[in-house]
Amino acid sequence: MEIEQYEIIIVEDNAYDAELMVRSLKEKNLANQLIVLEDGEDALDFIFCRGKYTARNLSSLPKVIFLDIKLPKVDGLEVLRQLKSNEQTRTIPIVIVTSSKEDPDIETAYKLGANSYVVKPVEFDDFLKTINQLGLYWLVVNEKPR
Amino acid sequence: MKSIQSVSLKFWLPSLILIAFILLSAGLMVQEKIVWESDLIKTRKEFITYDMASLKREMEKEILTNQPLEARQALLARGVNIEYRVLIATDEQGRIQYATRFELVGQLAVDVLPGFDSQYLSALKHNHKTVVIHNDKHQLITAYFPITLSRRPDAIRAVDTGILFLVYDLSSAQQKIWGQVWQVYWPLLMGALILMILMIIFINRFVDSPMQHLILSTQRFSRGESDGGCCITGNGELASLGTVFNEMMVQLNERLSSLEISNKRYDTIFKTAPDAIITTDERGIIDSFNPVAEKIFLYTAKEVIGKNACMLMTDGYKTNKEGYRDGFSSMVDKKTFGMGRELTGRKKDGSTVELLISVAETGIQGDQCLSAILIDITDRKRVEEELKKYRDNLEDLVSERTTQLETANKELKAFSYSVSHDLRAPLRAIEGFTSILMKQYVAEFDDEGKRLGSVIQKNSRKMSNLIDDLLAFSRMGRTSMHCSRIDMQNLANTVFDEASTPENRQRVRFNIGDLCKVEGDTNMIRQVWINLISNALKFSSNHKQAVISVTCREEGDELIYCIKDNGVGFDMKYKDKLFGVFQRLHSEKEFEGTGVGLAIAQRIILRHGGQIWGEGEKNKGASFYFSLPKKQNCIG
Repeated sequence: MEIEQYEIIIVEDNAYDAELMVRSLKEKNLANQLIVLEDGEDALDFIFCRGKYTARNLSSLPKVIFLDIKLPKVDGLEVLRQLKSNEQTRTIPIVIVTSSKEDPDIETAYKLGANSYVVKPVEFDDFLKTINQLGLYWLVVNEKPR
Repeated sequence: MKSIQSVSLKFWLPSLILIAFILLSAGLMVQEKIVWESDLIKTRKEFITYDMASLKREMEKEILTNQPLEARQALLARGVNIEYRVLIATDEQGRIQYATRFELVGQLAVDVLPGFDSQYLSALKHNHKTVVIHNDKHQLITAYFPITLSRRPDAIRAVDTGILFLVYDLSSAQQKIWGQVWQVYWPLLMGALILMILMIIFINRFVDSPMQHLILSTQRFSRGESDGGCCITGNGELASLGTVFNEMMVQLNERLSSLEISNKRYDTIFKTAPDAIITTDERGIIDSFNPVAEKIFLYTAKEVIGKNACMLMTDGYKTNKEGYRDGFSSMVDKKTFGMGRELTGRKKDGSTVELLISVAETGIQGDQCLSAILIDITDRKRVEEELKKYRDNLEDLVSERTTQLETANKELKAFSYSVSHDLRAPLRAIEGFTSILMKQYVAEFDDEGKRLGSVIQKNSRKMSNLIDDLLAFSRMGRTSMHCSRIDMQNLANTVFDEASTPENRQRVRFNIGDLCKVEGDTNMIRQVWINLISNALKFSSNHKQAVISVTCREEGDELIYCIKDNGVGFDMKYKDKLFGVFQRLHSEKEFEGTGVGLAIAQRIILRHGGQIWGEGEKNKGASFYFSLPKKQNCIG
């Protein structure tokens, strides 16, 4: 299988949430080069081209990573920490997308270098709007580092 | 001096005068006797010279007239005088021609009279002088007179010059001299004696008697029987001596009585002090030991007095650097004298006792004495130990509880975390997928199907609100408070503006009085206002002319705020349910809500040390009051 160039990486263990996100992005035709990864370890392997992703080219960085905090194996904050402490990956914009409004998480996330922190709205209409805006902003409005 | 001191003045002064008088009198008498004696010798010599010259003339006349018997008679007549012990007349050769004693006649005077000196024979023959010699040793006067004895026809020379020799006995006359002297002197001696006796009487009366009085007073005083002085009468020095003595006695009495009081006081303290009192000399030898000390050390005072205080200490204190024992000094550094120091003492039975010692040094005429006050602190120490144990235990307990609390808090946090994450996700899925269903597959539902879909959506939203409120409620109990001064007037106004819609603002009259400023956590108090004002707006939403008034009053240390509306009110019998979590007094149909708002408000007010309560009547509005202390002690 040919390893593609991805623009969006969604790290989300809840398949339904992931599906809702993908659907939202698809509405605006932003889901072309998108991959959903289910846990933190998988995400790190993918980004650093380790394990089953050894063949991948590390130099091709995504435009944005949507990262959930509560993840199996390695949690979202740890993934964030590793990515932001690596010289190659620290420039990738990372948006924390979480259900939690708990303050310590927000603070920790920003301290670790998160670029944005978004709480998933429960109401689907709001959710849809939020994801649409995020996709548009990070993929269209925002300039990726070169 | 000592012999004089030991003999009374009454005796030694007269005796001295008497001795002096006797010596003086004896001297005078001896001198008088010598004068009289020399007078006697002189007169006797004169008498002898005269008498002998007279005899010589008589005898020479008789012999010249050749009447030797007459001459002899004249000589014998002189011999009657018993003081004329020997009276002879010799011829030129010294042969006795005439004598008062017949047996001597015809013999050589040199042979029979030891006192006769023959050298005068020839000497006197030529110069015709008389010789009178006084012999003091034998109390004699010997006299030699040349005498012309005879002119006999057969004589070669016409004149035969012999010697008239006399031995005069002075002894009886001399013996009489003493009697004569005595006769002159005895009235004098008697007068002197009387004078002396008068003097003794005088001394006794005016000197010795007051002295004795003084002595007796002093003796009485020294025995402690003093009645406060003596009275010496008299003049001059003695009187002033008496006055001075009396003053001295008074002063001494005062000092003695104050000393006595002081002594008694010390004795009382010494005996009744609750602490041990031990005094030692500078070598550490114990000289007093009070009853408490006896009780502490189990020694009696008799057992320790005279012994070194080191016996009361454990071995560690016994010797100092120089290796000699010096009692308390070795235990207590001189710098710490007077201050308390803890040490371990040793009882008679060998057991130890914890003591607090305070040592003081008293110097009296170069001797340093040490006084030590000791307190048995064994019990105190034990209690301290126990307290320490309890305190440590308590600390352990507190830290254990703290750990438990922290654990519980952590668990609670984890719980709310997972509630916020895990309960939301399925809700979102329900809501999201229902939403997709109702949008993309709407054509396939009839009206009932559409209604059911909206019920699912509505309930999932409600569930989401409940979760949010529950988390907010839980957070209010956990987040720390940051106090500052809050402008309540401004805050209530702002909250009203934020919570009300333009429609609300048209319909509702919001009356706000002067609200006092108060101390508290601004965010939390804002939440209280939000909940109360929202409630007021909500429950008066059916009223066409709604009035919401906010007032404040001061009551003691507290400020009481009140928010009153004229809405639907509530039945007072349910007032206990007002502040319960998820407790609602109205149906969902009438008013939306989760029933957490007032619970959150109560939790915040309680955390600020205040109270919250409500008053209301069905369909006549409700009043909610909350009190806050003016000053906050904001810790956590």
